[in-house]
Amino acid sequence: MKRRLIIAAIALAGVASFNALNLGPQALVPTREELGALSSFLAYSFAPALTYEAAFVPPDAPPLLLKVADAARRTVCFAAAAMSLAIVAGGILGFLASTAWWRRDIDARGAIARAVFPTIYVCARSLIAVMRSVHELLWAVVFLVAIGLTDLGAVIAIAIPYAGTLAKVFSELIDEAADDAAMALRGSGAGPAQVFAFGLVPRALPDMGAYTLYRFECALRSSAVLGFFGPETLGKFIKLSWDENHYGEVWTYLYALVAMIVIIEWWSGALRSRFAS
Amino acid sequence: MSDVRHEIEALRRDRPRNRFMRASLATFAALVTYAWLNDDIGLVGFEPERRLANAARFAQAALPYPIQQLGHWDWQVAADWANRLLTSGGWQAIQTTLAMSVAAIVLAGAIGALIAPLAARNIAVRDGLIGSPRSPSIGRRRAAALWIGTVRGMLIFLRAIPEYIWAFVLIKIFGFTAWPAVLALALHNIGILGKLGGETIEDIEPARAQALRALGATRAQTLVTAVVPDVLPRFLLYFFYRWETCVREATVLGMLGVVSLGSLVRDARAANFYDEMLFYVALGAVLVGVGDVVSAGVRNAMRRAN
Amino acid sequence: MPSGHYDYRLRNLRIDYDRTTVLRIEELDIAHGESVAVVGPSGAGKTTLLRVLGLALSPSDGTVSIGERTAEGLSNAQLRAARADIGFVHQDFRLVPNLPVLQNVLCGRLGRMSFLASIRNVLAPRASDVASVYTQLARVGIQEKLYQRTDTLSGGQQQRVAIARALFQSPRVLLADEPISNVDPARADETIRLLAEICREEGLTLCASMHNAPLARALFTRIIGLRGGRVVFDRPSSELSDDEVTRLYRLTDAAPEEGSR
Repeated sequence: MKRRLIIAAIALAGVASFNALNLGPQALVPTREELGALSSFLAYSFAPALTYEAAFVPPDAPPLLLKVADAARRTVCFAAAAMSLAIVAGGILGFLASTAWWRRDIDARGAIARAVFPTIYVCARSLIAVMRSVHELLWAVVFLVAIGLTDLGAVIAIAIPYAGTLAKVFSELIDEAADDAAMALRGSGAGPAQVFAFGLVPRALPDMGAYTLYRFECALRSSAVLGFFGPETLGKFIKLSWDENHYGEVWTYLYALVAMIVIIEWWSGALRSRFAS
Repeated sequence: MSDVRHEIEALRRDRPRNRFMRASLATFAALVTYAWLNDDIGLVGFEPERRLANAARFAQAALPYPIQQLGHWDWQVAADWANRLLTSGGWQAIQTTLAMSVAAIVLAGAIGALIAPLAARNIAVRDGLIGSPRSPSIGRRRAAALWIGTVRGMLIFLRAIPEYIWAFVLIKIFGFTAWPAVLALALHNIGILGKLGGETIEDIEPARAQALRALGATRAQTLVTAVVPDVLPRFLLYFFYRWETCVREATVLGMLGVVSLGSLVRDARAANFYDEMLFYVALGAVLVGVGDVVSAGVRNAMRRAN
Repeated sequence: MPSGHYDYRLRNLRIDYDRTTVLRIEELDIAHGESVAVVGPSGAGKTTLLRVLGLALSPSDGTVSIGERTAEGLSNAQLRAARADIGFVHQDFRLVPNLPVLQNVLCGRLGRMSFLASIRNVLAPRASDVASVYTQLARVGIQEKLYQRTDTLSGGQQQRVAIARALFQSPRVLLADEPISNVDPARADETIRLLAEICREEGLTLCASMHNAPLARALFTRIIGLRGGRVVFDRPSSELSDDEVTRLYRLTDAAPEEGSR
């Protein structure tokens, strides 16, 4: 019964939203021109460009496929660099934002610890919330005007929200990890940090790894999109090719992006099946 | 003692090793090292002095304009300034952004729910779990594999392209209305919800469905009465989780021109009104934060109800 | 009561959960080297008593002395040091399933080292430590599992890993909570015999809770019968009659709840 209520509420919210956006039935039906543009764009999906579509190509330009590969390589580099920062920052913040290492032991601690740990926790949570709720593109725009969007700035723009998200998920995974081994270690005299490091973290580690790989996949997409703002990743060339009506080239870049995502999904699937022994 | 050492060494040599796991970690480490060391990410030529001067100028311009003129902080003046920005377009943009995210996720949820069974082996394939008890012929099995592969390939394509790029393409085709933005958000999320829904369906306990099939229910009947109730709670959890990301993405799609929070950010930046730009960025952050809290609340309530 | 060196002295102990008294013991001393079986029906308070002895539960009232000290006066560091002397074998093993057996056993000694030392010792153990883990595993008969992932082992083997971890800790006292309830009955005797034997050899104090009273009488020197949170009998197993044991279980069937609760 309650589920029906939820679904009814969702449907109602959907109708209200379409209404608020003035998307009535006639707005949804495409015009003839739009259909024409759409179908000609889609037609190119079967004919991605293998060479330049421009009439004039500078003689020193590399072959198109090499250029696509280079853009893809740069997209991977930006994503990997951003993830390396995000993993370090997210790991530290995730540790500070998890309650498992102090709450379970708090009755055995002094008044100072009882005041300090919750304060650290609240600060870490707030910082994570701020980092997460600003989209990486908005971080990028802020950096762009503040210091000029260098490539390093782009990497950091991705790393900030990703670190926040990793920290949130890491802390939740650690807090939800089965604590039986942790309690046994505590019973044999281990301190809170040892209990955390050897009882809780190893339990949560497989899930943390799987989630990190998923975020790497997301980072590839973000890195591609950041190309619209300057860095020479896939997004930049999608935009340039489109602006010159080279739809075939657009598809080539799109397929390069899809190929990278497929590889990562295959990779994470293979890891998961091999790890669950 | 040396016997023990030998035995340990032998055990160590034969220990189970997850080579794939190690290779993965090594690959990732190599990738990160390469990413930092090749000169794509310009660590050289960063020119810290110039950047710092730039940042200092930005910090000045980031203060609300009336405050800059006043020369000192005054809460009343700042509040008036914020209020003016809110009434002159801020509220409207928040509403549009929110409406885009809701419209998109409802669309994606509806279509994703329809596609999910088609991507699940035990439903889409005639001789799957709720199919006939006869073992399928080879031709039929191949047809099934082809079908599943096609559906999943389309789903992976939909989710491999980020919302922003979908929006870019669709805006070029359909013009600067909210529709391309909604459609862009929806397309990406159909790819995700379709996949997650399909996996959830494949994980259900087959007993009930098989019992119904044995009683002569059609596949459609079985789907509605045995599969949907099992899958729905999970699917709703995914739905609300994806809505969070929709709100987040909706705040930036405006930068492509559709009137919403993102377009206000873009316009303020183009006009060098950095104070207003930061205000709209913060507004987006608040919207995303509220969305997170609402979604987490609903998901927790549903989890407790189950 | 043997005189001399005592590991535990409990006085006027009371443990409450949600305002219900679940365990009440006026006086209980355990001398070093004793082997004590705690028997009684489920819900009698066996696990609660073991948790008190393991310093995992502080009494609502009364005192617990361990060695020369009272438990409640201990600082954090002293409490950890005291716990490091107590090995505990839990009925549900409490191992980290996705770590190798070696690391799980190495974790037994965490209480005796600093955080940094423990990182080094668990991640890159010295050859001598590996050898001594191997020795402990050999004692419980699963040395060939040294480098296997713990969750690939059977329940009985994991129980042995838990025992090896407790032994590697080199404790003064070994506490075992129903060490046989997760293992098939055929191997149960074997495991409990192993524990009793090891503790006798090493001169460790052993205190194990169990259901199987005949086995307790055969292997332990002293038996404490618990029922409804009270000590019904506490005497050397040689002086215990079959009758008393049967009554311990039968009485609960007749009157499961006594006035005090």
